[in-house]
Amino acid sequence: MESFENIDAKSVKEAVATLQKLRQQGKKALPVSGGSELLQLMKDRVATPDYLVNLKRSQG
Amino acid sequence: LTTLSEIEEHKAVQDKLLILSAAAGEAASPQIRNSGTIGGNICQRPFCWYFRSASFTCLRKGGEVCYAVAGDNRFHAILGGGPSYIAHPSDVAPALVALDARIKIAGPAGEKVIPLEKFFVLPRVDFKRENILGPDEIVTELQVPYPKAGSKGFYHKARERQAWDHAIVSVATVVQRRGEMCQGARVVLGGVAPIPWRAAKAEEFLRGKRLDEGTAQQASEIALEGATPMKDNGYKVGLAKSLVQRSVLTAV
Repeated sequence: MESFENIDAKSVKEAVATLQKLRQQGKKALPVSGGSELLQLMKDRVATPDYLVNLKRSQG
Repeated sequence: LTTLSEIEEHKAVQDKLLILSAAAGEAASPQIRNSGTIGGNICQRPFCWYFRSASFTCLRKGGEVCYAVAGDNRFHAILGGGPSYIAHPSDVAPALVALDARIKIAGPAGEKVIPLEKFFVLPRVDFKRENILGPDEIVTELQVPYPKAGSKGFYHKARERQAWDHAIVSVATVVQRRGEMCQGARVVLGGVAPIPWRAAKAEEFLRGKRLDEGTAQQASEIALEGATPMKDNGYKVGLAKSLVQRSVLTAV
């Protein structure tokens, strides 16, 4: 798996804004919740995000 | 952020939406169901071995070729394929489409709610994606109406081994009946097409018919009309027919 940075989003709104901001900066960012699918894709190097925007700690 | 385990075990889902509970309980392994969410499940990428392998830059990953066409295609699509032949891996998606669920998506422009059926994208429309979700969008909610009175649901999954595996073929059926007559039906197949596959012509055929073995048999033939199996996946056609028949007869 390639290295990546994790960002905890406090809300869905914040997560969407963060994803948009990172993409506009030319960074690859993906949202993650349970992680059972995305982490597998990252191990297989099918997904290679620079950032994960974590929804697990968000409140609505 | 609701996990598959929470859906499987929720009392109201078990009482009113049994096929959803059943489908959630058939997905993956207990560990994955405890972590994986229902929203993530319907957004899964394909489990095609060429797609998942770093050695193959396939059509869906920006390459030129869908390697399933000439390669080992025993688990690939028999309906709705071309130019890519992935089989949609989700268990809960066919159940949710059979239940006429709606999906809420949050994005930079705000929220939108659309029928779940319209969420999925066939490869002939765009072979690089499985759904309409944009890069800055997040699935936030699934809305499932309670089935009409007199409805009965059925979810069955056939797989290569008995546990922790994807569906080779699955079928989610909701039949609304009065007495022996079918008033309406939704029949949705998993594992046979790049999207949860609604057998719309079979649904139409079933409406107003007496629910018996003959009807079930004809519905299953209609559901698989137009199937285009490849070298290794012809067995899926018969399997899917059997499951459609069984699902319709379960409503009797």
